[in-house]
Amino acid sequence: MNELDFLRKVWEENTIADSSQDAPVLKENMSMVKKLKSFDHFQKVINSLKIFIITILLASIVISLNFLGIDSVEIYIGISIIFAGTISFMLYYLRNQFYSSKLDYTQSSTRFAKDAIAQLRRQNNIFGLPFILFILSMIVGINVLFLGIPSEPQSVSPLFMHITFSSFIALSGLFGYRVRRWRIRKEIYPLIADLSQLENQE
Amino acid sequence: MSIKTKEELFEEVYTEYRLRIYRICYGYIYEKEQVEDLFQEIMINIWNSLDKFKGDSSIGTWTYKVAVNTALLYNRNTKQYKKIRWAATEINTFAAFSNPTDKIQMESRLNHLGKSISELEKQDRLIISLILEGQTYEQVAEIVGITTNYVGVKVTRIKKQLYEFLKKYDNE
Repeated sequence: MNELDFLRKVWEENTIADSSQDAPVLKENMSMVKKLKSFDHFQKVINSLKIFIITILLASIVISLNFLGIDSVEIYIGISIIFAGTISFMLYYLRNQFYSSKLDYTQSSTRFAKDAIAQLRRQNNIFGLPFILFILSMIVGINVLFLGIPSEPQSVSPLFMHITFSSFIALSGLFGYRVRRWRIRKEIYPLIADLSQLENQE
Repeated sequence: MSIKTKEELFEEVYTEYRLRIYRICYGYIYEKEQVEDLFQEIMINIWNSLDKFKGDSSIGTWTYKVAVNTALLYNRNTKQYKKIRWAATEINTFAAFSNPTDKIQMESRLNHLGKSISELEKQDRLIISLILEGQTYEQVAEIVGITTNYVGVKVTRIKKQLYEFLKKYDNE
Protein backbone atom coordinates (compact mmCIF):
# COMPACT_ATOMS: atom_id res chain seq x y z
CA MET A 1 0.00 0.00 0.00
CA ASN A 2 1.49 3.36 -0.96
CA GLU A 3 1.37 6.38 1.33
CA LEU A 4 -1.56 8.02 -0.44
CA ASP A 5 -3.59 4.82 -0.21
CA PHE A 6 -2.92 4.76 3.50
CA LEU A 7 -4.11 8.36 3.86
CA ARG A 8 -7.18 7.51 1.81
CA LYS A 9 -7.92 4.64 4.18
CA VAL A 10 -7.64 6.95 7.20
CA TRP A 11 -9.74 9.58 5.40
CA GLU A 12 -12.53 7.13 4.64
CA GLU A 13 -12.73 6.06 8.24
CA ASN A 14 -14.57 9.27 8.89
CA THR A 15 -17.81 7.57 8.10
CA ILE A 16 -21.26 6.57 9.26
CA ALA A 17 -21.05 3.45 11.35
CA ASP A 18 -24.43 2.01 10.65
CA SER A 19 -25.72 2.48 7.14
CA SER A 20 -29.16 1.21 8.14
CA GLN A 21 -29.61 4.57 9.85
CA ASP A 22 -29.47 6.31 6.49
CA ALA A 23 -33.13 5.94 5.60
CA PRO A 24 -34.67 7.89 8.52
CA VAL A 25 -31.87 10.45 8.29
CA LEU A 26 -32.61 10.98 4.62
CA LYS A 27 -36.34 11.25 5.23
CA GLU A 28 -35.72 13.86 7.90
CA ASN A 29 -33.47 15.83 5.62
CA MET A 30 -35.76 15.64 2.63
CA SER A 31 -38.28 17.60 4.68
CA MET A 32 -35.60 20.31 4.64
CA VAL A 33 -36.34 20.79 0.95
CA LYS A 34 -39.31 22.87 2.01
CA LYS A 35 -37.05 25.05 4.11
CA LEU A 36 -34.61 25.32 1.23
CA LYS A 37 -37.34 26.56 -1.04
CA SER A 38 -38.25 29.32 1.36
CA PHE A 39 -34.60 30.13 1.93
CA ASP A 40 -34.25 30.52 -1.81
CA HIS A 41 -36.52 33.57 -1.66
CA PHE A 42 -35.15 35.01 1.56
CA GLN A 43 -32.88 37.59 -0.06
CA LYS A 44 -35.57 38.66 -2.48
CA VAL A 45 -37.98 39.22 0.39
CA ILE A 46 -35.41 41.37 2.22
CA ASN A 47 -34.93 43.51 -0.89
CA SER A 48 -38.67 43.85 -1.41
CA LEU A 49 -38.91 44.95 2.20
CA LYS A 50 -36.25 47.63 1.65
CA ILE A 51 -38.13 48.94 -1.38
CA PHE A 52 -41.40 48.88 0.57
CA ILE A 53 -39.93 50.88 3.49
CA ILE A 54 -38.42 53.49 1.16
CA THR A 55 -41.70 53.80 -0.74
CA ILE A 56 -43.58 54.30 2.53
CA LEU A 57 -41.05 56.93 3.67
CA LEU A 58 -41.29 58.84 0.41
CA ALA A 59 -45.07 58.58 0.35
CA SER A 60 -45.30 59.81 3.94
CA ILE A 61 -43.33 62.96 3.01
CA VAL A 62 -45.80 63.72 0.23
CA ILE A 63 -48.83 62.97 2.42
CA SER A 64 -47.47 65.08 5.32
CA LEU A 65 -46.84 68.08 3.07
CA ASN A 66 -50.24 67.69 1.50
CA PHE A 67 -51.84 67.39 4.93
CA LEU A 68 -50.13 70.59 6.08
CA GLY A 69 -51.55 72.32 3.03
CA ILE A 70 -48.12 73.37 1.81
CA ASP A 71 -48.13 73.64 -1.92
CA SER A 72 -45.38 75.29 -3.93
CA VAL A 73 -43.20 74.66 -6.98
CA GLU A 74 -40.03 74.39 -4.82
CA ILE A 75 -41.58 71.58 -2.80
CA TYR A 76 -42.50 69.60 -5.90
CA ILE A 77 -39.02 70.12 -7.36
CA GLY A 78 -37.37 69.13 -4.04
CA ILE A 79 -39.47 66.00 -3.71
CA SER A 80 -38.83 65.09 -7.34
CA ILE A 81 -35.07 65.35 -6.80
CA ILE A 82 -35.27 63.19 -3.64
CA PHE A 83 -37.47 60.62 -5.42
CA ALA A 84 -35.28 60.48 -8.51
CA GLY A 85 -32.08 60.19 -6.44
CA THR A 86 -33.45 57.46 -4.19
CA ILE A 87 -35.03 55.39 -6.94
CA SER A 88 -31.96 55.62 -9.19
CA PHE A 89 -29.65 54.61 -6.36
CA MET A 90 -31.90 51.74 -5.25
CA LEU A 91 -32.10 50.39 -8.80
CA TYR A 92 -28.33 50.62 -9.19
CA TYR A 93 -27.82 49.05 -5.76
CA LEU A 94 -30.16 46.13 -6.42
CA ARG A 95 -28.65 45.49 -9.82
CA ASN A 96 -25.08 45.43 -8.59
CA GLN A 97 -25.44 43.96 -5.13
CA PHE A 98 -23.53 40.74 -4.66
CA TYR A 99 -25.74 37.71 -4.22
CA SER A 100 -23.93 34.44 -3.86
CA SER A 101 -27.07 32.79 -5.24
CA LYS A 102 -26.57 34.64 -8.56
CA LEU A 103 -23.31 32.78 -9.17
CA ASP A 104 -23.12 29.63 -11.23
CA TYR A 105 -21.70 27.03 -8.86
CA THR A 106 -21.65 24.38 -11.55
CA GLN A 107 -18.67 25.91 -13.39
CA SER A 108 -15.05 24.96 -12.87
CA SER A 109 -13.41 26.74 -9.92
CA THR A 110 -11.22 29.02 -12.03
CA ARG A 111 -14.17 30.25 -14.09
CA PHE A 112 -16.26 30.53 -10.93
CA ALA A 113 -13.53 32.63 -9.27
CA LYS A 114 -13.45 34.98 -12.25
CA ASP A 115 -17.23 35.58 -12.11
CA ALA A 116 -17.26 35.97 -8.33
CA ILE A 117 -14.46 38.56 -8.45
CA ALA A 118 -16.29 40.55 -11.14
CA GLN A 119 -19.47 40.58 -9.05
CA LEU A 120 -17.65 41.50 -5.86
CA ARG A 121 -15.91 44.40 -7.60
CA ARG A 122 -19.21 45.61 -9.04
CA GLN A 123 -20.68 45.60 -5.55
CA ASN A 124 -17.71 47.57 -4.17
CA ASN A 125 -18.32 50.24 -6.79
CA ILE A 126 -21.82 50.95 -5.44
CA PHE A 127 -20.31 52.92 -2.61
CA GLY A 128 -18.20 55.09 -4.87
CA LEU A 129 -19.60 57.75 -7.19
CA PRO A 130 -23.23 56.45 -7.24
CA PHE A 131 -23.44 56.76 -3.46
CA ILE A 132 -21.92 60.27 -3.46
CA LEU A 133 -24.43 61.33 -6.14
CA PHE A 134 -27.25 59.86 -4.07
CA ILE A 135 -26.22 61.84 -0.96
CA LEU A 136 -25.82 65.01 -3.04
CA SER A 137 -29.31 64.55 -4.51
CA MET A 138 -30.70 64.21 -0.97
CA ILE A 139 -28.96 67.41 0.16
CA VAL A 140 -30.06 69.38 -2.91
CA GLY A 141 -33.60 67.97 -2.75
CA ILE A 142 -34.13 68.74 0.93
CA ASN A 143 -32.73 72.28 0.55
CA VAL A 144 -34.96 73.05 -2.43
CA LEU A 145 -37.90 71.60 -0.50
CA PHE A 146 -37.16 73.92 2.45
CA LEU A 147 -37.26 76.91 0.15
CA GLY A 148 -40.92 76.16 -0.46
CA ILE A 149 -41.88 75.94 3.22
CA PRO A 150 -43.05 79.34 4.53
CA SER A 151 -41.04 80.37 7.60
CA GLU A 152 -42.66 82.07 10.56
CA PRO A 153 -40.96 85.14 12.05
CA GLN A 154 -40.34 83.52 15.48
CA SER A 155 -39.01 80.26 14.14
CA VAL A 156 -35.31 79.40 13.73
CA SER A 157 -33.52 81.04 10.83
CA PRO A 158 -33.93 79.28 7.45
CA LEU A 159 -30.16 79.30 7.00
CA PHE A 160 -29.75 77.36 10.24
CA MET A 161 -32.28 74.78 9.02
CA HIS A 162 -30.49 74.42 5.68
CA ILE A 163 -27.10 73.96 7.35
CA THR A 164 -28.43 71.56 9.99
CA PHE A 165 -30.25 69.26 7.59
CA SER A 166 -27.49 69.34 4.97
CA SER A 167 -24.89 68.48 7.62
CA PHE A 168 -27.06 65.69 9.02
CA ILE A 169 -27.50 64.07 5.61
CA ALA A 170 -23.82 64.53 4.74
CA LEU A 171 -22.67 63.05 8.07
CA SER A 172 -25.11 60.12 7.78
CA GLY A 173 -23.81 59.48 4.29
CA LEU A 174 -20.21 59.66 5.47
CA PHE A 175 -20.95 57.28 8.31
CA GLY A 176 -22.65 54.80 5.96
CA TYR A 177 -19.76 55.10 3.54
CA ARG A 178 -17.15 54.48 6.25
CA VAL A 179 -19.00 51.46 7.65
CA ARG A 180 -19.31 50.01 4.18
CA ARG A 181 -15.63 50.63 3.36
CA TRP A 182 -14.61 49.01 6.62
CA ARG A 183 -16.69 45.93 5.79
CA ILE A 184 -15.29 45.79 2.28
CA ARG A 185 -11.72 45.93 3.59
CA LYS A 186 -12.41 43.30 6.23
CA GLU A 187 -14.57 40.87 4.28
CA ILE A 188 -14.43 41.46 0.56
CA TYR A 189 -10.78 42.27 -0.15
CA PRO A 190 -9.44 39.06 1.46
CA LEU A 191 -12.00 37.06 -0.51
CA ILE A 192 -11.00 38.74 -3.77
CA ALA A 193 -7.33 38.09 -2.96
CA ASP A 194 -8.04 34.39 -2.38
CA LEU A 195 -10.13 34.04 -5.51
CA SER A 196 -7.56 35.92 -7.61
CA GLN A 197 -5.03 33.15 -6.95
CA LEU A 198 -7.40 30.66 -8.57
CA GLU A 199 -8.38 32.97 -11.40
CA ASN A 200 -4.75 33.23 -12.49
CA GLN A 201 -4.38 29.47 -12.83
CA GLU A 202 -6.75 29.09 -15.75
CA MET B 1 -36.99 20.47 -14.62
CA SER B 2 -40.12 19.46 -12.74
CA ILE B 3 -40.14 19.77 -8.98
CA LYS B 4 -40.52 16.00 -8.65
CA THR B 5 -37.44 15.34 -10.80
CA LYS B 6 -35.54 17.94 -8.84
CA GLU B 7 -36.45 16.32 -5.54
CA GLU B 8 -35.50 12.88 -6.85
CA LEU B 9 -32.16 14.16 -8.08
CA PHE B 10 -31.50 15.91 -4.80
CA GLU B 11 -32.32 12.69 -2.98
CA GLU B 12 -29.84 10.82 -5.17
CA VAL B 13 -27.10 13.37 -4.61
CA TYR B 14 -27.83 13.50 -0.94
CA THR B 15 -27.81 9.73 -0.45
CA GLU B 16 -24.72 9.15 -2.53
CA TYR B 17 -22.59 12.18 -1.73
CA ARG B 18 -23.50 13.67 1.62
CA LEU B 19 -20.75 11.84 3.49
CA ARG B 20 -18.17 12.64 0.81
CA ILE B 21 -19.18 16.30 0.91
CA TYR B 22 -19.05 16.27 4.67
CA ARG B 23 -15.48 14.93 4.53
CA ILE B 24 -14.49 17.63 2.05
CA CYS B 25 -15.89 20.25 4.43
CA TYR B 26 -13.98 18.60 7.25
CA GLY B 27 -10.74 18.74 5.27
CA TYR B 28 -11.36 22.33 4.24
CA ILE B 29 -12.24 23.81 7.62
CA TYR B 30 -11.69 21.23 10.33
CA GLU B 31 -13.64 23.15 13.03
CA LYS B 32 -16.84 21.21 13.71
CA GLU B 33 -19.19 24.20 13.93
CA GLN B 34 -17.86 25.63 10.70
CA VAL B 35 -17.95 22.24 8.97
CA GLU B 36 -21.67 22.01 9.65
CA ASP B 37 -22.19 25.53 8.44
CA LEU B 38 -20.35 24.90 5.18
CA PHE B 39 -22.09 21.57 4.67
CA GLN B 40 -25.43 23.32 5.00
CA GLU B 41 -24.42 25.99 2.51
CA ILE B 42 -23.28 23.38 -0.02
CA MET B 43 -26.60 21.56 0.28
CA ILE B 44 -28.46 24.82 -0.33
CA ASN B 45 -26.36 25.56 -3.41
CA ILE B 46 -26.82 22.03 -4.73
CA TRP B 47 -30.57 22.42 -4.39
CA ASN B 48 -30.54 25.85 -6.03
CA SER B 49 -28.29 24.69 -8.88
CA LEU B 50 -30.09 21.45 -9.71
CA ASP B 51 -32.02 23.12 -12.52
CA LYS B 52 -28.69 23.70 -14.26
CA PHE B 53 -27.75 20.03 -14.26
CA LYS B 54 -27.90 18.94 -17.89
CA GLY B 55 -26.05 15.65 -17.58
CA ASP B 56 -22.96 16.86 -19.51
CA SER B 57 -20.75 15.57 -16.73
CA SER B 58 -21.46 12.87 -14.17
CA ILE B 59 -23.65 13.83 -11.24
CA GLY B 60 -20.61 13.19 -9.00
CA THR B 61 -18.35 15.67 -10.80
CA TRP B 62 -21.20 18.15 -10.91
CA THR B 63 -21.80 17.80 -7.16
CA TYR B 64 -18.10 18.20 -6.37
CA LYS B 65 -17.98 21.36 -8.48
CA VAL B 66 -20.78 22.92 -6.47
CA ALA B 67 -19.16 21.79 -3.21
CA VAL B 68 -15.70 23.10 -4.13
CA ASN B 69 -17.01 26.47 -5.37
CA THR B 70 -19.15 26.94 -2.28
CA ALA B 71 -16.15 26.20 -0.09
CA LEU B 72 -14.02 28.71 -2.00
CA LEU B 73 -16.56 31.45 -1.42
CA TYR B 74 -17.31 30.43 2.13
CA ASN B 75 -16.61 33.28 4.48
CA ARG B 76 -16.91 32.27 8.08
CA ASN B 77 -17.24 35.89 9.22
CA THR B 78 -20.28 36.80 7.19
CA LYS B 79 -22.85 34.20 8.03
CA GLN B 80 -26.27 35.79 8.08
CA TYR B 81 -28.80 33.11 7.46
CA LYS B 82 -30.82 31.13 9.89
CA LYS B 83 -29.31 27.82 10.82
CA ILE B 84 -31.05 24.75 9.48
CA ARG B 85 -30.20 21.62 11.38
CA TRP B 86 -29.04 18.78 9.19
CA ALA B 87 -29.09 15.28 10.49
CA ALA B 88 -26.39 14.50 7.93
CA THR B 89 -23.88 16.26 10.11
CA GLU B 90 -24.68 14.05 13.05
CA ILE B 91 -22.26 11.50 11.76
CA ASN B 92 -21.55 8.74 14.18
CA THR B 93 -17.83 8.73 13.61
CA PHE B 94 -15.78 5.80 14.87
CA ALA B 95 -18.77 4.05 16.37
CA ALA B 96 -17.80 0.90 14.47
CA PHE B 97 -14.82 0.30 16.69
CA SER B 98 -15.65 -2.00 19.53
CA ASN B 99 -12.12 -1.84 20.90
CA PRO B 100 -11.54 1.53 22.64
CA THR B 101 -7.79 1.45 21.83
CA ASP B 102 -8.47 1.05 18.11
CA LYS B 103 -10.98 3.84 18.29
CA ILE B 104 -8.55 6.21 20.01
CA GLN B 105 -5.76 5.37 17.56
CA MET B 106 -8.00 5.89 14.58
CA GLU B 107 -9.40 9.10 15.99
CA SER B 108 -5.91 10.42 16.58
CA ARG B 109 -4.80 9.50 13.03
CA LEU B 110 -7.81 11.15 11.50
CA ASN B 111 -7.37 14.25 13.65
CA HIS B 112 -3.74 14.53 12.54
CA LEU B 113 -4.79 14.19 8.92
CA GLY B 114 -7.58 16.77 9.35
CA LYS B 115 -5.23 19.23 11.07
CA SER B 116 -2.53 18.70 8.46
CA ILE B 117 -4.90 19.27 5.54
CA SER B 118 -6.28 22.41 7.19
CA GLU B 119 -2.76 23.89 7.18
CA LEU B 120 -2.51 23.71 3.39
CA GLU B 121 -3.48 26.50 0.97
CA LYS B 122 -7.25 26.72 0.41
CA GLN B 123 -7.27 25.28 -3.08
CA ASP B 124 -4.76 22.59 -2.12
CA ARG B 125 -7.04 21.46 0.70
CA LEU B 126 -9.83 20.90 -1.78
CA ILE B 127 -7.60 19.16 -4.31
CA ILE B 128 -6.20 16.69 -1.80
CA SER B 129 -9.70 16.07 -0.38
CA LEU B 130 -10.94 15.21 -3.87
CA ILE B 131 -7.95 12.92 -4.42
CA LEU B 132 -8.58 11.21 -1.09
CA GLU B 133 -12.21 10.78 -2.15
CA GLY B 134 -10.90 8.73 -5.06
CA GLN B 135 -11.26 11.28 -7.84
CA THR B 136 -8.82 10.89 -10.72
CA TYR B 137 -6.47 13.68 -11.87
CA GLU B 138 -8.73 14.19 -14.90
CA GLN B 139 -11.81 14.57 -12.73
CA VAL B 140 -10.04 16.99 -10.39
CA ALA B 141 -8.84 18.97 -13.42
CA GLU B 142 -12.42 19.26 -14.66
CA ILE B 143 -13.74 20.31 -11.26
CA VAL B 144 -11.03 22.89 -10.57
CA GLY B 145 -10.54 24.04 -14.16
CA ILE B 146 -6.81 23.47 -14.50
CA THR B 147 -4.87 21.04 -16.67
CA THR B 148 -4.39 17.41 -15.67
CA ASN B 149 -0.62 17.88 -15.66
CA TYR B 150 -0.93 20.81 -13.32
CA VAL B 151 -3.08 18.70 -10.99
CA GLY B 152 -0.27 16.13 -10.98
CA VAL B 153 2.31 18.77 -10.12
CA LYS B 154 0.10 20.15 -7.37
CA VAL B 155 -0.66 16.74 -5.86
CA THR B 156 3.05 15.90 -5.67
CA ARG B 157 3.73 19.17 -3.88
CA ILE B 158 0.70 18.81 -1.60
CA LYS B 159 1.69 15.27 -0.60
CA LYS B 160 5.15 16.46 0.38
CA GLN B 161 3.73 19.25 2.53
CA LEU B 162 1.13 16.93 4.03
CA TYR B 163 3.69 14.36 5.15
CA GLU B 164 5.75 17.08 6.79
CA PHE B 165 2.72 18.26 8.76
CA LEU B 166 1.74 14.70 9.65
CA LYS B 167 5.26 14.00 10.88
CA LYS B 168 5.11 17.10 13.04
CA TYR B 169 1.81 16.03 14.63
CA ASP B 170 2.89 12.42 15.08
CA ASN B 171 5.95 13.59 17.00
CA GLU B 172 3.95 15.84 19.30
